[in-house]
Amino acid sequence: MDPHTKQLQLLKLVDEIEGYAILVLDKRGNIETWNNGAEKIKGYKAEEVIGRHIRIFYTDLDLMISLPERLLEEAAQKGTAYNESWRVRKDKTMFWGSVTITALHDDDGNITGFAKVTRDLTERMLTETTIRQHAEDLEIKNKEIEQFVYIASHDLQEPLFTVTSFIEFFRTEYGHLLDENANTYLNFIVQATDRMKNLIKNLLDYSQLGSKKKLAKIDCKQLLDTLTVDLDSQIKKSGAKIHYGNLPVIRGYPTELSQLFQNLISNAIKFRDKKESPEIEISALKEHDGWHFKVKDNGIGIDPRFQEKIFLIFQRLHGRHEYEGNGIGLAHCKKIVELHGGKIFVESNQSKGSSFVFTIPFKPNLITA
Amino acid sequence: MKKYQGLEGILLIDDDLPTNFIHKKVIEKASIEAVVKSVTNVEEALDFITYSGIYEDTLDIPRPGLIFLDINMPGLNGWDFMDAYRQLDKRFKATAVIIMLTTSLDPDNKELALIDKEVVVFLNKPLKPEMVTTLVNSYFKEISD
Repeated sequence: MDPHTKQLQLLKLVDEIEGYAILVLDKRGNIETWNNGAEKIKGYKAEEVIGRHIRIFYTDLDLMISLPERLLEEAAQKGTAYNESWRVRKDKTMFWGSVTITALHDDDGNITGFAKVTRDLTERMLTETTIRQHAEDLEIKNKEIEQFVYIASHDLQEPLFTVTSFIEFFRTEYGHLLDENANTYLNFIVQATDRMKNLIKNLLDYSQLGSKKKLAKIDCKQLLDTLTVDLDSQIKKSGAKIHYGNLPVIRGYPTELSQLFQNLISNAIKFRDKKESPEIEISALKEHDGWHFKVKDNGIGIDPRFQEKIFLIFQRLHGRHEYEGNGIGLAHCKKIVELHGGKIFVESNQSKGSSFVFTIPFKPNLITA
Repeated sequence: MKKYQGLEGILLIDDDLPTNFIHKKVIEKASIEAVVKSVTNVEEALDFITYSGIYEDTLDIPRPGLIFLDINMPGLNGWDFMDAYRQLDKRFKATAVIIMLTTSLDPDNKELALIDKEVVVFLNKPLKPEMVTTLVNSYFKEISD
């Protein structure tokens, strides 16, 4: 193919291309050529616009600030000008246009006109706006919830304290008058208020989780060394064996991460199979999206039906007389992992017990909570 | 019962009646001989301290050497009380030690209270007899008969 034919092909292509409005303007900004894309995006046919000034595509607001003239001027000065804003179609509807204007020169370097390429990015623009709005809404909602939980739990404590105090007064001042039955009643009241007190405290802790977090380098092996000392009595009492080899040094929130490991280890001990002593294995794998940690136990395991439910706050799978607790530990874990921008889930082991897997991205600070 | 110098009276400011009642008993349990007066709002507390309003002719009731102040109250709260108290004439506030009380687990209030110079002590509710004993022993001198 000779160069001339190639040039003609290019022209044909430009003419037929639909995603872009490609037009040539004269020195003053009057339209000289009009392709299919231009017709599609702006709604005018070639014969309706050729010879007219590009001002017809601009909103009144942009005309007031002489945007078309300024863009042409900029293109003349710098060679090219870029702009994104609302543009007007023939039927007066608007689209979000991404516009590049490039100056055209003759052999002596004089400006002969301009090439203008316009894309309709309305959809992308709307998507971006929607996403941004959702993110903002979500942030506000989260703040509201935290505030609500905080205030609610705060105000809930006072009447509870009153009940506790008066039961005590009742016991000390009238205890000698009460029979066994009356004492049983009082005991139930005390148990219930104690539980309520714990629930409120947990709820408050949950809402406060990560509010004062500080990113730091964490040696996970060292963290577990300390943790196993802290959990010593629990470990000894249950006869648990905790295995971990080399663990990485990662970036994260130390207090929260320690809490995360503590919860998972405590759970593994708590939900052990009564017939054998707990074996807990902690390992880490480097993957493309960050570190994958695994806390594997040989305990009672988790019914696959409940593998998502367990991470919700105040959700429990067992009666209080079987295993104590408020159903907040794993909700805490989930919040901590998400604070780091990671994910947590549970898998059933092939043999028995369960494995909790969580990910910590290499750069947790890039995720804003 | 133990008597302390400058501690003829104790003032409880809390909008919650049962809480005032409980605190009064707690002080009794700590065996401190003092007249405990309780009020449920800041205005009344200020009237009491300054012998105003309904407390105009109550010179016989001892004014507080110790004030237990709840922070979270409807209307004027503990901080508002502190603002007003600071501006009182010296003769009304010469000897009083103020204890700010709040429900536990509230980190921000603690930080705020610590920077307020006139708040000598900050305590978490619930108040316990041992807490009162420790407080009184560190701020007042026991009068031995």
